Amino acid sequence: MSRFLLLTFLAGLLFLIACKKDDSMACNATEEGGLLDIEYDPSPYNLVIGEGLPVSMPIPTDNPLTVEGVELGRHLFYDPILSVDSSMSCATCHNSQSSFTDNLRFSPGVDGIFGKRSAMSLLDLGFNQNGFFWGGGVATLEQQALMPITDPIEMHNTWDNVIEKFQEHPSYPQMFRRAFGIETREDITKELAAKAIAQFERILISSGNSLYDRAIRGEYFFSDAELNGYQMFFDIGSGLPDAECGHCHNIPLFTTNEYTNNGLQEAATLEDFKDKGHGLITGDPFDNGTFRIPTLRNITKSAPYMHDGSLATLEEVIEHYNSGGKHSPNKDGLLLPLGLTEENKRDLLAFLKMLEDPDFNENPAYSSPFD
Amino acid sequence: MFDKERFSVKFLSLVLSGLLFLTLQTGCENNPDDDLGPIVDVEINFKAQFDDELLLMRKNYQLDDSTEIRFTRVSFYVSDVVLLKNINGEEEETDVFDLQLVDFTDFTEVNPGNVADGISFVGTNVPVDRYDGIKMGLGVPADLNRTSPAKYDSGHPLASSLHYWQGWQSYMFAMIEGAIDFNGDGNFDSDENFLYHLGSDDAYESTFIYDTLTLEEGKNPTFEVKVDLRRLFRKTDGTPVFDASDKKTTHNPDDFAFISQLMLYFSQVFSL
Ligand code: HEC
Ligand code: HEC
Repeated sequence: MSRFLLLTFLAGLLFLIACKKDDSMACNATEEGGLLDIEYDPSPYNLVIGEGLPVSMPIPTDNPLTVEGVELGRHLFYDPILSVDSSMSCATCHNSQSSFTDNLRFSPGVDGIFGKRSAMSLLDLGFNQNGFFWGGGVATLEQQALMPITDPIEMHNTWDNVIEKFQEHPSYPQMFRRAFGIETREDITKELAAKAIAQFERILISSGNSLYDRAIRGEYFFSDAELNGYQMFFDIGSGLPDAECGHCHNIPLFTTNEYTNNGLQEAATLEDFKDKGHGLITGDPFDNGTFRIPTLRNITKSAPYMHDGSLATLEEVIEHYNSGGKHSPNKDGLLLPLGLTEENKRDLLAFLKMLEDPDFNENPAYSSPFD
Repeated sequence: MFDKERFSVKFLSLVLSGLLFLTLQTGCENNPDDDLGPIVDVEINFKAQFDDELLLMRKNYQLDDSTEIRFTRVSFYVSDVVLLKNINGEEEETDVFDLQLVDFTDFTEVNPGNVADGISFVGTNVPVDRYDGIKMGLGVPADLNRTSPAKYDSGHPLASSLHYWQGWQSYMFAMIEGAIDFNGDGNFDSDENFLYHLGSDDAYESTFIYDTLTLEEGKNPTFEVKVDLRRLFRKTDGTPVFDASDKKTTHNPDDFAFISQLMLYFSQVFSL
């Protein structure tokens, strides 16, 4: 008994001495890095999903939505300290006023180097379970959020560097504590940062109040042009040509999130696509030149269009589909000349415009917390 | 003072009655209505075939000497799957499962997955008996067909927006897509694609497969259902089932007669 006491005493003494000698992190953790004084009691985030959208969103069990997590994610999303020279945040390329795109054909990264694909809308992406990016390949938002920071043609930073900035930041350590219950500054990890960003991304959902949604609910009446456009979009017929759009851009999200080839790239063989898209991920030549179908909700806000931003306007998009697209061996069977008249095209455009979502665009919860 | 023997007898009877209680409990849970006797789990295993071969998507097959075919998507809903028992000329039905989506689309050469394993669904608590066949609904029953994907949590078979067609306010009961080299030039030209999207209440079909199916106590059986896609296009004598070159797509309300016809043909590609 007494020997045990003595040992503990000695050990305690040693520890104290060690602490005095060098100012090691472990010892002063409670003073500088320690966060235990801050309450960790996250409140569940009440995700409000508008009518007409999927009833629920699949949320990973190890990253439940919390008010504190979403708030941290929103800050990180808008904070340029994520990029190497603090010049660029996620929002530089994903602007809330442009359905979270940058309205550029290709986006320059911090070094001014342009990527090969157009920035994607982040609207409703929490509902997608079929891979992220134009070509797929990233399974979860948590994984995706890790990538832009180190991408040389995006933010070109290192995670060590970013974590250090977080640790020294006047408020991030506290916010990480409130969101994830970390105990010291050293507990901040890139995985937690990615979780927070993913939480913020999941709340970016359509309001369910676009003219289209309201027309379906009977709160607004389709104009003649809009109704014609709606009928062509979904092949409802009655003398109008089928535009076939709804097969790929189906309700409720106006995408099925499948990978298809919509005739954008000319290719004599499956190996000839300039951008092989989904094929780069699966290794199946048949997937070459296929891309994930994007949502058309709020589509008026995210020009230019397609993975390569090659179509500047919705008029050009309609022209493209009306032509049946460019030839390639795996072009989707729905891409055939549509035979739309000038009036049909105008009507289809009128329908696409109904998908604009002003309530989404003006939602203060999605805007920068730094403004 | 302490009777060891009496204690252990008491203890034993307590344990035994506890066990009995538990068995009764679980027994009751399984058969809420009445005691149906022993039950098993029945696995229905769907295999996509082209004749006697396992069917891979995106691979070319010979419809006949001069005509190649390739499938790129084969998926369909099965619903109200029951085992049939003939009792004095009346068919009695025993539930296996309600509704599932069978989707062979990912079975490709590059990503063969578990093509040989097929796609399985398990119906639980099926009473042990000797049955005379299986009946499967092909499509989504009318009451559910009035709903739409937004109403379901992701992962539910009816949450697939790919399988819903707003224009008809109906699920696509079956989607069969691919290409046939109609002109025999060795290429699938863009006007040689077929897209059979079959849906709407009137197109709902049932397929009956008659065979003796014996369920035995303690053994969970697997019944393999072959889905032979060649039979959608060719009869056993090799002649065409219908003129596919004449009708390559089905989306328009005007196509309803053809859609119902095609669902009927599709109901004939199943066998045990
Ligand atoms: C330099 C511009 C740029 C920056 C900065 C940027 N992105 Fe992106 N983002 C893109 C581009 C381009 C794509 C499409 C890439 C592809 O498909 O290869 C994309 C795609 C995405 C996607 C996939 C969306 C989908 O539906 O599949 C997500 C999510 C995303 N970005 C989130 C972020 C986050 C979070 C940040 C900050 C950590 C960020 N981005 C920073 C340009 C950028
Ligand atoms: C075969 C499936 C398919 C059909 C049918 C289809 N689309 Fe698309 N759509 C796609 C794919 C895939 C993309 C992305 C292609 C790319 O970037 O390479 C796309 C992209 C778009 C875009 C650009 C979205 C963005 O964020 O850049 C618009 C707009 C669009 N489609 C509208 C339509 C309209 C209108 C119709 C009907 C006339 C239609 N689509 C028919 C598959 C389809």
